[in-house]
Amino acid sequence: MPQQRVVRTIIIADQQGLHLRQAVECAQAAGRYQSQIILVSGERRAENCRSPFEILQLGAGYGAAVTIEATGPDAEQAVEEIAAILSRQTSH
Amino acid sequence: MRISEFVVKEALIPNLMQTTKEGVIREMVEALKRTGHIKASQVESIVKALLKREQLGSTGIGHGVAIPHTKHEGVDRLIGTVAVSHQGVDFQSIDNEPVYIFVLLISPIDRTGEHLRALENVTRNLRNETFCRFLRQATTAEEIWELILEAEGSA
Repeated sequence: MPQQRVVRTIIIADQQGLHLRQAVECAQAAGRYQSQIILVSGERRAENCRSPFEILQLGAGYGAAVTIEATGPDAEQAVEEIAAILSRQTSH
Repeated sequence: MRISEFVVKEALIPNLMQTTKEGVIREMVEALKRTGHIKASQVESIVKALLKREQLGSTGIGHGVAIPHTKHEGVDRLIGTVAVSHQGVDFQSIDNEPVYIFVLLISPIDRTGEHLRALENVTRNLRNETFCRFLRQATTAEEIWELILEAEGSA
């Protein structure tokens, strides 16, 4: 499969911000793809989207913009799934 | 928000007795009750809320670490405690490995920003393998506290 680079920016829609459960879901989703996935929010970067520890370093609150950058053969699908997780409103 | 600002020093547990998810959560909440940070009448409700959150997905986030957390009206500021299990606990973690280090957080209902900053700080420190290794070797509450202060650069 050809290499793709896909970039998409989403806004954190959950009033709790990007919380632990979303970080875990993101990390688990990222682990299912071959692509390298990086998250960026403001000046902060999570270079390894497969780690919830890294994702939580973004400290992305409600309304924050998060850019998903994926590079690899399945970048489009990876960005699609991670964007869906991060854009979702959840509650707990 | 620094870990030492919300972790209750007197409620640290250097050697967890319990070996199940519910048992560990209860032991940690009981420690916060003993220090007077949680009312006895709120214990059951807080334990139930923490377990309900676990049902949505384990807070065991890998590398032997779990961060059980909830929001609850029983606290008026973010409080927490740290516990170490030397034998490891099956917490249904995302990497299917046992958990040795627990950081329990209870936030007031309306302090979302504070909660996120606490999570950020806790995970920043716990992704450091050396910090985790030393925490797992700790045998007294004082040692855990010193390690936290050292990690924060305020020792």
